[in-house]
Amino acid sequence: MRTYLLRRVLSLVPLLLGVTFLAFLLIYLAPGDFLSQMAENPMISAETIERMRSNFGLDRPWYVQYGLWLKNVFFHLDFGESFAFRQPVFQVIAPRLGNTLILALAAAVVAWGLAIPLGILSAVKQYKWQDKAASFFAFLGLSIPEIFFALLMMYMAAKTGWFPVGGMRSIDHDEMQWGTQLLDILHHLVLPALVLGTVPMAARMRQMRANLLDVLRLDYVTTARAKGLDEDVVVWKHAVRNAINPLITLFGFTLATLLSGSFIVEIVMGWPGLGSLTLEALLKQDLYLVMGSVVIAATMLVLGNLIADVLLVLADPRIKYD
Amino acid sequence: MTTAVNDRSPWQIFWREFKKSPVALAGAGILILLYGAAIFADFLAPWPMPQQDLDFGYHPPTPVHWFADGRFVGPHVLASELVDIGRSTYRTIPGERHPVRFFVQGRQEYRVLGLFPTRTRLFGVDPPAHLYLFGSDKYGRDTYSRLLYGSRVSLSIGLIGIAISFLIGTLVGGLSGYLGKGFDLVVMRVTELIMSVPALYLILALRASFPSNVPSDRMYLIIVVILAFIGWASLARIVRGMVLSLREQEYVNAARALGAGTLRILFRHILPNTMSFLIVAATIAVPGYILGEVTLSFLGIGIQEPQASWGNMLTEAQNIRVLKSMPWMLIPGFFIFIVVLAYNFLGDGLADALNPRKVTGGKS
Amino acid sequence: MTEAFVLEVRDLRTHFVTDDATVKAVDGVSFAVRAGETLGIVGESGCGKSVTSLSILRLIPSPPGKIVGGEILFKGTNLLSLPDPAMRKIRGNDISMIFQEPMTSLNPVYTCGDQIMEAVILHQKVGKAEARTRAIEMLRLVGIPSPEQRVDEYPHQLSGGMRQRVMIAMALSCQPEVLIADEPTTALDVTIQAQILELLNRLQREMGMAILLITHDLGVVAETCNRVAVMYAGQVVEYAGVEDIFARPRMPYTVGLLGSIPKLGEERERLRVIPGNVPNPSEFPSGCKFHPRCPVAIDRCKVENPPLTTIRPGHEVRCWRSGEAEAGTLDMGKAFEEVTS
Repeated sequence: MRTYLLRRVLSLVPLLLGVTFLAFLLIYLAPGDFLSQMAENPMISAETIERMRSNFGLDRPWYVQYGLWLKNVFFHLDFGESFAFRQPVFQVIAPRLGNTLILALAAAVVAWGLAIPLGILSAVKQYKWQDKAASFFAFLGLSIPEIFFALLMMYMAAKTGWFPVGGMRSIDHDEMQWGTQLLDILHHLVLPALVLGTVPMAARMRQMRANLLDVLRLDYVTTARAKGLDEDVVVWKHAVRNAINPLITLFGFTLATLLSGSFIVEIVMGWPGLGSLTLEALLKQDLYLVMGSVVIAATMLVLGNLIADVLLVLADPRIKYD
Repeated sequence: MTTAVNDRSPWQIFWREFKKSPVALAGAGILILLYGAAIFADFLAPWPMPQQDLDFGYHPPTPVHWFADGRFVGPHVLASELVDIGRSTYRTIPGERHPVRFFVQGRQEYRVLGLFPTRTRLFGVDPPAHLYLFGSDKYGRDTYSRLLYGSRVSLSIGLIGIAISFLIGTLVGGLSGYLGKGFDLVVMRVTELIMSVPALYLILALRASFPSNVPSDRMYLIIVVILAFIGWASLARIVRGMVLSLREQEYVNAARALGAGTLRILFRHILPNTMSFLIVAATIAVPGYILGEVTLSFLGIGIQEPQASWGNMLTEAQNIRVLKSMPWMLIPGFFIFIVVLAYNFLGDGLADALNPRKVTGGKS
Repeated sequence: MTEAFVLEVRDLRTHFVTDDATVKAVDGVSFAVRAGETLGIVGESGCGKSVTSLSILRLIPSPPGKIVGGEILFKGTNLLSLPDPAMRKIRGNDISMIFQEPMTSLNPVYTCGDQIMEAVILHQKVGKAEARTRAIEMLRLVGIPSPEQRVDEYPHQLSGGMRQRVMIAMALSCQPEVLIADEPTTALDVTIQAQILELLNRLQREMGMAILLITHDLGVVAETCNRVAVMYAGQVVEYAGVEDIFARPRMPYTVGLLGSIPKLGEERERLRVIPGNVPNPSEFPSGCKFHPRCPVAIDRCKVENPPLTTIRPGHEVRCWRSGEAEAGTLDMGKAFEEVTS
């Protein structure tokens, strides 16, 4: 298991090299750079721009820049400084990443908390109205575009006043007690988590239903019934336990896609996460900030898959990695 | 019942299975309707795309009346006037009835299917009345008309994007699986790379490498290129996997023994066998492309005004004040939803029809 | 007479209703078995024998399956009229079942011990520790070496033969009065097959339960059964003691089945098989369901399905010409040789 984990983590290295190279190349190909936007400002002199350009190293060929960046990352774990924030990239990213993580986790909880019971209900009541209703909503959930769903939820919040319209904290957040602050954030979290969690929820529900239906046809389920077990025990203890395994592996994957997929929700609903930061950075051509975000996003995706594999080993006694 | 199936062609079996699914038919029907509307947008839309009326910004949808004083008089609208410019509130002018006219002559000439010049539009009302079926936007432009023009961009981009991805994916994936060795290795690493970056991050990074302000027609191309660049990877991997399993089958060996060349074997003998599966995969992938365009345009870095796209029509709705009091601005989002839903219905139906899992009686 | 039977099936009818058709998988089957006795149910695949066995425990997947008629009497109680909870008390406790495929019949995520203990705890109302002792005991009884270790192993760690032994241990853990064994040896190697059959015979002698052995293998029947019910197309076509079946078969189908097993010392160039195929359950022929494949079929067979008639005490046959065969005026075996040579 340990060697397997080590091998998987090591395989991250060439992948991240490729990803960062790609990101660097793309930003280099983009017309202009961070400073060319600044140069349009008449208040800033051409000399200042030139000085900054050489300070930032933007006057050197792109492969030299990339080499330097790699060297700093590799030897000093230094991901460079954000041009716009004038701060080390990690300091800028860390709080945003934290917010995205909160949102992704909440969405995952929404998704899984609903998907598994609904999927089981759907399979157990196959072709009955419960199944049809659940499947119909799953289909709607899979199809509703995040932009539209997010806007719709905001409209609902604005009309009813039940939920805050966007953002993560109320204006008076800082004056609140610790517990109220938590509730405040949770209150803001509900709608974004719902929007973000709907697609994975629908997908996992359909999967849970299909898996469980497959498992319920297997011989060992008949064995369990032939033992005289109650149908609930047959379903929950014998069938669900097996049907859920493939989904457990997907948990890590879901988390990873949620982390990288919260982009739209963050932007539309004003959640101060990594996605909105990356969009800003891209538009401003804030090179190292973009690089940092891309590295984080890709790492999350790969780590999520790794978590998935580890969970599978824990859940299924048949699988062993050496 | 086996004999009943055997004497039909695969296409007949497919059609028989496909017809059984009402949702799949509904999906196909909705798509035909929407694409048809996109083609005949000029005729169906009462307004030319750029036409605006600044005095009628954020006008709510105009109700169409059929009765006047309890008598049926046919469809007509009431003219309205601005009450509060700050809050964009309007009131109807009583008594000013204007009939909805059909097959009216518009001010601007257009060409049906790009060929036949005409001015005829399906319906319209005489000034000073306005018929805003779905309300108007900030500049007093007709949302219904712009929805039709926008559908030309938003709906076609998915089809063109998937067509390019499909071509590249099938070719590269097919060669990768068939040739193996170094080519395969390189292709697989590249696809892994593309797929390991979260799609939206990649779309944005790719978008950033193009100039920010370009004319709409070029922007359209850029978006297609970006989406196809990302989309081919997963299709290539699917094709490669299928080719790998088909490569060693008897009939391929037979073709090889008869001296057929690599490409001939690939295109004549292997790829046709992957088609039905690929068509399903492609159908299910189209919404991704549509949403890609919508997202970019929504964020203001895709299709630019004044060209309408379902994405950039939603941009205004991000404003809470607009969203709260002008909910009709959400209508383009609803149509995006419907299109995605229709594609998913169709994809599901196709998958079922091409691979029917028949339930037969119990085992014995 | 009835009192002596521990399990009696009367006129059982199980149908499968699909969109296209109603399949009469079991169409009026009757048989009975006494304690300590083994009844073989024999037939080709698709004849309804597995559906019959699942029907007894009411384990037919519904929909599409449904038991539409008949009685299943366990010690005089009709199982078909029992409420579900009472039926569950019977399953695994009074009547238990083992299946064809030991590879898939055990739940992969629980240890063998857990799966045996589950039934014991459920039916015998004992604690975990005692159930575990019982499980180890059962594993030892079915001949699994070092049962104290095996009890904590997962099914995938065992061989096919070992798993089938675990299945038997599980099925017998509550000392049932009837054991239904659905092709218990089909998926196993020949040497293992013999071991499992021997094990079943030994356990039957020790525990005295009745066994319902579902099989397509007449060799297995000869070794283990007291009585045999031959099934074809959802119906019992011949029902007799094992000696009668092998020495004096009176239904052409049975004759054909027997002819298809090679005998030692007999020189024959190729195996004889019954011509034709098992009919599709949704398209059973009219009249006697075997008539399209029967070498001695007469016109009457095509229109009228013969009833099951007693031709000798304890020997019932469903054939219009069984009388002629019994009287010696018709040699069914020879008729088969003529059509196949």
